[in-house]
Amino acid sequence: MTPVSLRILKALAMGGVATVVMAACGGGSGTTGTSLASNQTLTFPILADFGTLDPALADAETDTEISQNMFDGLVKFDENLNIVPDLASAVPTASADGLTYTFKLRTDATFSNGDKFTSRDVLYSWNRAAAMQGAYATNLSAIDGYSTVSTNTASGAALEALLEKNDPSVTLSGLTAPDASTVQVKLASPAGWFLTAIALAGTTGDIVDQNTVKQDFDNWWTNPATAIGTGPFKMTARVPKQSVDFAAVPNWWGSPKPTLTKIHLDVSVTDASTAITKYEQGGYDVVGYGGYSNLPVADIIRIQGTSNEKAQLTLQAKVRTYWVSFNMVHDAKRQAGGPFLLSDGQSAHDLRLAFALAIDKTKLVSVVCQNIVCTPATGGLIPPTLIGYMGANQDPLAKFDATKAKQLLQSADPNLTKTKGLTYTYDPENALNKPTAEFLQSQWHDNLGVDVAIQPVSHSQFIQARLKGAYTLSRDGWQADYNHPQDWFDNLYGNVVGCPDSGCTTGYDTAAYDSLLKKADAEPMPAALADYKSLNQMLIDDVTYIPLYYSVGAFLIKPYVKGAGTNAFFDHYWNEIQILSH
Amino acid sequence: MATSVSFPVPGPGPAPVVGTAGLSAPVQASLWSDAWRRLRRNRMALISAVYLVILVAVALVALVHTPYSYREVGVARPYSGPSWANWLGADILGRDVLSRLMVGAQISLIVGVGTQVFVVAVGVPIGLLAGYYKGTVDSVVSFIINVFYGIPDLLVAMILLLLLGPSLNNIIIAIVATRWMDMTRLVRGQTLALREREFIEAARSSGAKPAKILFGHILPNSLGPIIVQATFGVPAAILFEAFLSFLGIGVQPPTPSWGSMAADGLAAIRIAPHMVIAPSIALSLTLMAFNFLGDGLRDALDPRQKR
Repeated sequence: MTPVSLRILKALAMGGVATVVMAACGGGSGTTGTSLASNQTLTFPILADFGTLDPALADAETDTEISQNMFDGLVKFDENLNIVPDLASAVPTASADGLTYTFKLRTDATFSNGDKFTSRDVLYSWNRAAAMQGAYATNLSAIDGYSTVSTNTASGAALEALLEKNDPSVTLSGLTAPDASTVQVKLASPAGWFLTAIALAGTTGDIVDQNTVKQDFDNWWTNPATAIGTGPFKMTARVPKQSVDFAAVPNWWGSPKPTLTKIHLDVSVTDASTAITKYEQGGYDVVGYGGYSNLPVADIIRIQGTSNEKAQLTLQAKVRTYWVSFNMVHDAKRQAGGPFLLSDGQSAHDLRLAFALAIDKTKLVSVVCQNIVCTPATGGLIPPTLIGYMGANQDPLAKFDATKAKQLLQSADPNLTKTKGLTYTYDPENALNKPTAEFLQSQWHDNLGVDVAIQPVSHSQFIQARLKGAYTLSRDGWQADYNHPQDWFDNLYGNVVGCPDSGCTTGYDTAAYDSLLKKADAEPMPAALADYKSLNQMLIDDVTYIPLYYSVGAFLIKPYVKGAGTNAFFDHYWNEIQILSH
Repeated sequence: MATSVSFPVPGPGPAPVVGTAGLSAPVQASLWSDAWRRLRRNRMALISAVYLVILVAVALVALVHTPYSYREVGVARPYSGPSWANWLGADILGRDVLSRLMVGAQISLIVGVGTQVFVVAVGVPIGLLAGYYKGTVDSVVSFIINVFYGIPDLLVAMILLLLLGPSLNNIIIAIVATRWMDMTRLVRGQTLALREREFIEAARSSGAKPAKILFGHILPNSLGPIIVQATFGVPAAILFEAFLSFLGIGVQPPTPSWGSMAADGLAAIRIAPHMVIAPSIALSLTLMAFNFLGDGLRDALDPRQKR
């Protein structure tokens, strides 16, 4: 907890700096100055409307990138991905048995409508999120009682009624509030990843205001009057698929105090190249924010060739990995079948390995990404900068060995009957997926002599079908939710996520994997790290994937926009941004 | 929408075809030689014909040789412009654009000509039957034609490709399903007019069966309009295929289509305009050539144009 005297000193210092900056504010020169512009409005596009700003239901990256400026959790990640206090006054440590966390809360925090933040809001928000079972509900799954609450079927007003009377069916038994400024969390079993999971901004760990949520339980976040959080910005206007406006919360309790007075999101432009053109014409201050940093390679190459815009381009390695998944289980619920099944033993193993070694990953990155928007995934599933990264060139599946690939194929499928009629399925919405698919098709043809058809399927349909085991070969990938290997190994393979038959692309689920995963999840860091790396090694030994590349995000930021940027996980918060005179 | 053509039935004077081989042969020779004479006078039609011959030659050569494999990635730096090594530059994956353009010509010609073969095979018999028998048969055929005209071409093609899957054969089927009506309507109109002519009456009086009248007398006298209609149908089909491929539901990778090549290039048009320009020029020239040739054939085969 920061001492009061120190906070006062900080406030005085910031006030002094602000006064000096304001005094230096001059007229509009043609170049970027160091003084603040009179108009503190930041304008940027998001290429599709967000699905929700309700932290309980957040799913897409855009949802969290926007709502992280409206809501807070008890803890959050700082710029260097360390866990730091947010609405909690300090980061708690686990009890000796690893089961209990006690959060002391800030007493000066309020919602943007003036409602005071208390421990009651934490209980309401987390119980609600666990009961609503959104995409990130499992971030709370370590809390005792989650298994009961997660089976809730009530929704809307009925769920609100249950929450108001603290009905056991929607109340996490491990979540209690000894007083208004204390929250105690008891876990069902030790979970070294718990704090990192609830630190993920814009999702289920964030706190909402029951007074406004209950006015319209499902759609409160769509109305500026009820879209209330404790964050530095609040929504002021929204025209679906057109625009959304946010304004700084006056006298916000946190720091740094927002300098921007208004954020204008343009939702009307849906094409990245068009957005870049509009940026170049002065229509936007930033492009790439809000979860849309997959800018087209061609535009990036062009901008890198310019003298004036080159410096405005920021490339940042993101925490996303892309790979190819095999269907490895065939049963009544998984229809794809194919020649890569785990049950087919060494022959299928060799086929999977042949398909992996036949891909020249360095060439893939050179051709498809132009060595700009991705890097070869040579260090396992988890990308560099994250805990669990195996290290450069440590993944043997990332190697390219056409000769060995051909030998493996000839021993496993000498007549090419097993590999006849294969199809690789992908979702074309990401601009890299189609050229990647064509590259893979070319490599399998040239290096193995196997013709693989490629099939585009729209993203939402693709994801649903893929997780049901509908594709023999498919585009796969994962973006880290938080900096902990559990996020990867729990959510992609094994029975925790539902493999083989539910929510599982490959169907991969072995007793050894499940057993080691359970052990690793219960251990604190860094003890768990060796086990997580062993889990990745298991996936490598069984050739469950073909690693392709780690993603790099691209941002265009005008020189007069100070403080805008990104780290491996998320955009810099809006309250860290200033518009300089220009 | 397909280009529609309107033809008069053969004009007065000696019947172009009569029931006996001895009389019909010299008259037919006169009609076609006359048409060929008129076609040769049409410079644009001749230039177009030469272009199309070259295009066919290129497509045939591409069967055995292209500068590079059309599917090999990384033969040049992606997005690189024209050079001695790659005359038309490279595409998004560093594939040779010229090689892909040559293979794309095969696709365009197969789709264009193949479609019209099936359009003729489907549209002509139905048109002959509707025009000859009139009555209920004609009403039913006309109703079906109107129903098909009422449904947008693109919708029909997309549904069919969704159901059948996007392959070259299915693209031809989808285009035929949206184009057969033009041919049927044309042949029906020709048949309705011809069936009232004296030489048909004579054939009928001499005991000729309907099949003989339809395929021995009426069809030969409708060949001119049918050829012209089919010629105009080829560029329409090529354009339709290119559009479907541009949308991503046409010819599937790695097979190149001029439409998909243009679509791939669109995203990079500011740094690699050759990716769009090359297939667009090829497509435009081919469409123009077929249209000019169609115009020339129409003028040549229309007896009213006799000078």
